[in-house]
Amino acid sequence: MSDFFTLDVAFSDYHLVFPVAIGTILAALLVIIGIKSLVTRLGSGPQDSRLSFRFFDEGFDRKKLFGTLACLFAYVLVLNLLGFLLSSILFVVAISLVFKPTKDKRVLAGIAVSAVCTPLAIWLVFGQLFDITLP
Amino acid sequence: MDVLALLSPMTFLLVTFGVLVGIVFGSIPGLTATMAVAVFLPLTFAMDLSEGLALLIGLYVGGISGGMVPAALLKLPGTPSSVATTFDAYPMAQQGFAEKALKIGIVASLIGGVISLLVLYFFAPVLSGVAIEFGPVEKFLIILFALTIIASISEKSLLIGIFSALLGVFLSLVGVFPMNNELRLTPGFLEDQLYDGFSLLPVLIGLFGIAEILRNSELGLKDAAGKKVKLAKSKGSDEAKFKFSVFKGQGVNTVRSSFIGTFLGILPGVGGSAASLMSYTQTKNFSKKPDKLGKGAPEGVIASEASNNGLTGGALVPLLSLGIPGDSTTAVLLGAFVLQGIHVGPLFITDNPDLWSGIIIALLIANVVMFLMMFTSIRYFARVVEIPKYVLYPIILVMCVLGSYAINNGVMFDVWTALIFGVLGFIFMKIGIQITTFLIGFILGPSLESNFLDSMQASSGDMLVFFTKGPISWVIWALIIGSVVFGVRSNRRKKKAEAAETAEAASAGAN
Repeated sequence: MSDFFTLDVAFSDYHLVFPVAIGTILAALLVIIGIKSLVTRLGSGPQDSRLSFRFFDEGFDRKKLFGTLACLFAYVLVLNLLGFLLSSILFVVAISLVFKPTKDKRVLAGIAVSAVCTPLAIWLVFGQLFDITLP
Repeated sequence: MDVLALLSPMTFLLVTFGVLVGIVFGSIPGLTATMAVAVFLPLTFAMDLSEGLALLIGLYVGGISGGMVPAALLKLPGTPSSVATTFDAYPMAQQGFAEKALKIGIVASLIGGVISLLVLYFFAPVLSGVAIEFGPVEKFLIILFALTIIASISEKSLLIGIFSALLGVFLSLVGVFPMNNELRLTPGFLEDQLYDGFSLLPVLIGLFGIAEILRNSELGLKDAAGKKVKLAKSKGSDEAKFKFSVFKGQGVNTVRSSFIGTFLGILPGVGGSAASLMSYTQTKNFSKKPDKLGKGAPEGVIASEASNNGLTGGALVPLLSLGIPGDSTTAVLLGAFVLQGIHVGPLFITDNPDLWSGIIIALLIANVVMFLMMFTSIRYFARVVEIPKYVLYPIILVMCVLGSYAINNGVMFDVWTALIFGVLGFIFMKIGIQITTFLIGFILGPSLESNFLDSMQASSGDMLVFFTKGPISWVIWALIIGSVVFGVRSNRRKKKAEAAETAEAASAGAN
């Protein structure tokens, strides 16, 4: 009995104790959760719409969600190439257009002002005033 | 302790700035107090820790308080902790008492904040005094307790709560194990970048900044600005004016709600929404006119706002005495300590007396400034709600990217970490994994592991040591079991209530 409660692991393998233990528990939990949801699903009949799983919201904003993701990844990719100021200006323009697609000149002017001022202000405050490393 | 020396003009300025920005973040649904703290964290690199904390504490208090503005005006909580504020403040605003409702909320917030501050001031040193005696066994158990209690109070099932917490622990193990310098869970091609695992701050920025924005863009960025927000002039009618006499007879309610908030704050991982809901329920239970609640009763506003500001001081108690964050925002605050290389734990208060009093003073100033600012200019803050999100989100995203880059002095991989966790956070929201629970698991994971292995080494591998160590460990075991039992029971109750509700709805629909 006492053997069961004794952890006998060499010091060189100490780094594996937790990953294995937690991984096992996670897998076990996943199985239990799976079985539980299967049981409720079978019990309540197929017409219960609450149980059918849907990842995205119904009628979700495809353009904005994936547009945001694309802009973010592109931004990080060009960050090292173009430097902070230039890439941030481009990013703000791009993502503002994703968030608010428009041809209204006033809004576009507003976006342009924000695109130039925001990175500039951040660059001044963070980079120059507080001396924080920028890309 | 020389109070005046600690109260430098700079500290005061930073707290004020923090409160102002915090209120703006709190006022806009879709921006949260946690996000405010995470986004501004990089700014604190250049400051010393007490100044940085002053800024962050200002953001915290401002952010929690600002949430009441859209709660009253639009029936949308500006930050999750204002959920229960909508129940009564919105009906009041509909009746033309918006300003009165908000001012009641502001006063209640101040009282809640100050009460929790007092609790923090007197209770945290006591708790850390107890915790100093803790060895690895007790530390392991107390972290286990922290994780079970988060899981048991979580909104979904206990199982999913535990799963979320352990997933956080699992991901925190990535990288090198400091005891024997061996890598684990690290893909070969990322060995250099992941040697120290994922950095905490990019993870925070991803989970609370980027994920939130992704979620909002999925919803199509519906702006609150579309609805007309206006603080109706209280047309000289006596009833619509705010008077302190509203609080007459509400003393017990205010104090009780503040303490509920503070107490829930102390429990790790329990956020403001739980605090405000619970004290609202209690107020309803004790109220002389319970049927008035939900239709615009000042006591409902008081209950919610006193408790969510009570949370601020409470959540700092476990952080400063045990190193365990009390809610998601204090988890981000922990990041500020990590950044400056200061270890938060039982020894923190005795080792850093100046910092400790600095925190207390910053919290006090933040509450007072919040009160003065909101009480005098609530009309202008009401306008903040109208700022469109498409203007703010690009700025916040730039700051997210910049912040994660700057955290380790320019590591591009940290930016990728923020992005990865942003997407993960978004997926978590979808499949029901709780982000706060996950985060606390992630933060506490490494110390859970090292304390476990330390106890194993000390007892030459005997796992029974966790049961036989002595009275302190038995007490903690009792707490752990208690929290699990509580979780299972409240889960069952919730399910029953839900079933009853659907049955009721069905019968109502049939009629």
